[in-house]
Amino acid sequence: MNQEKKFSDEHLNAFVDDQLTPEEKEQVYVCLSQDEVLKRHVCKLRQVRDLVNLAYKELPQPSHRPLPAVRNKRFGRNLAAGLVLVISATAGWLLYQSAANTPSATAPEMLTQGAAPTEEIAKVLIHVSDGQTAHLKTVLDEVESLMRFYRDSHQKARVEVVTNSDGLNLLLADKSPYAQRIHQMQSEYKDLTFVACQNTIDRFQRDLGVTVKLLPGVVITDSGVAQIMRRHHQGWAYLQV
Amino acid sequence: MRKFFLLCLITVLPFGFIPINASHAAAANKVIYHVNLGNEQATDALRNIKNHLAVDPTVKIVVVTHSNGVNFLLEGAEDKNGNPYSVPVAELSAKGVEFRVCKITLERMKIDPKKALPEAKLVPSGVVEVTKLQQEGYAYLKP
Amino acid sequence: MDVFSFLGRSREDRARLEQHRLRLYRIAYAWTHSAALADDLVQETLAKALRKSGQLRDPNAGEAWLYSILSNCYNDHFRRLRVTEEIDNNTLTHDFTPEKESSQQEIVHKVRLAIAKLSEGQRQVVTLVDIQGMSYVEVAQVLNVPIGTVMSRLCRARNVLKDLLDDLAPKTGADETKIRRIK
Repeated sequence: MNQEKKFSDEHLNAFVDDQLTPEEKEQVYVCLSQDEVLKRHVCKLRQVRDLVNLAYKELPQPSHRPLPAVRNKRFGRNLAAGLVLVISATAGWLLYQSAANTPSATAPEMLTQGAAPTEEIAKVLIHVSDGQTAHLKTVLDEVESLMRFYRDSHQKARVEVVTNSDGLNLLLADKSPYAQRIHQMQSEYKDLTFVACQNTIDRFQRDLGVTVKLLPGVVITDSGVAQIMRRHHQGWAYLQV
Repeated sequence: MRKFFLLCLITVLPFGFIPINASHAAAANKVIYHVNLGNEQATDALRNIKNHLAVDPTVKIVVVTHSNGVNFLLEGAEDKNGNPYSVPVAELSAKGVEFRVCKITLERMKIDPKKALPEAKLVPSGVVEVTKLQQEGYAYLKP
Repeated sequence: MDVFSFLGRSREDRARLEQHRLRLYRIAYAWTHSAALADDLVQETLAKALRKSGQLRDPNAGEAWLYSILSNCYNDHFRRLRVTEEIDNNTLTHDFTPEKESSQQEIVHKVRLAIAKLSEGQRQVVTLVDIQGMSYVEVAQVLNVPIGTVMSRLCRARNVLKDLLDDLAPKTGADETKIRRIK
């Protein structure tokens, strides 16, 4: 009676995903026409597949960043490129030397010569480790001020608020004095992310003996400090507020 | 063929290379002092900067202030001992230290920009200024 | 190596890789449920792919190559970042008509929550198969696991999802079942 045992679950999934040989497929079709239970099971598998597909059809818009230029130095196996490295480095060094001998006002100008294209996205990590309520208010004021500034100047920006140590209080579901405000900010600014440090969460749970529950939409990172270093390597600006 | 090859590369590459070299070499010598909490932090910062310059006279220092960090750069501001901030600010400014004040903060606190010390320069946003300087290779310090 | 063809290939590669951006983003989003993280992941993947494209013998190599870079990036960096429960309706765009909106949104939200409950391995397999339409062989290549593992993870994933999403079954199917039980 339980005909679906004739085929393993893996086999039926493979049928649904068209991963069987024509002969195997034919076998399943024959059984399907005779077995309602099997047919319903296969139907359900197809439904699940369709639901998964549907769930990611519409997505929040990604910010579109151009790919970085491939720098020539990465193809150093080319001997000529190697030679040019030496020549250009020398030219660069010589120019830097001459810049160093002129008033410092000229040096910054040289630095911005290779200015970023106008599509550049500002990336800012704000580090919060102080948990006093008054301070947390300042943090949110500054973050909101920043997001508004970027929006008003039509500058694309990604801002991450990373909390560790007592700063975690900002993001605790039952303790945060600003849960509503944070929810509002998350809704209003899609490129703003609040991040909690797992190490701090573990410490809170150990020392306070409570289960830590975070506000919705908060991202957890293994270690706040490690996240700060990662972002630093990725070229993010860093601020402590 | 090789000469032509080299010629092409030499003309193309210096434009990409020089900024990288210059920024790499100069990055170690430029620092932001970020002051936003209040006068106590400002006092610490001014002391740290004085020591920093004593150790490294060539370092380029920019003090960026916003929120409660702007207070010490206003006319008549004094520390908790009654000493005016204008004195150390003028001294450090004479040594090349720059002081920048956040316009958004002044507007929010309803402070007339003219009340800022003459050494202080206005910037549209203190936080954005910090990020911009980092992009230019400045290191970040929080006193 | 002629410098002009070298520069030209780079431009072509970049353009070709850019075409993959949205599809990569869809998978990255399904894995992280965060637009910002997914964007990071895709950017890193494309940058790595561009650097490696010099090593690629066949410029028309299948997508599996690209997605295996995505998978490695995910393992290296993004597994450490995971989102807690999602903000209600915040991650959804609003292209639907008002009447359809609430039920469609609800379904999408439920499905995403269910997928978030899967183990990482199960989530990766089921999304690569169901969203990207990859064959089991390709998924095995991308995730660097035996094909048997792909099949068993997929099986378990769909069973879990089936249970969690049972109430989303279309009415006709459910009625049919009830009739049979009464019999």
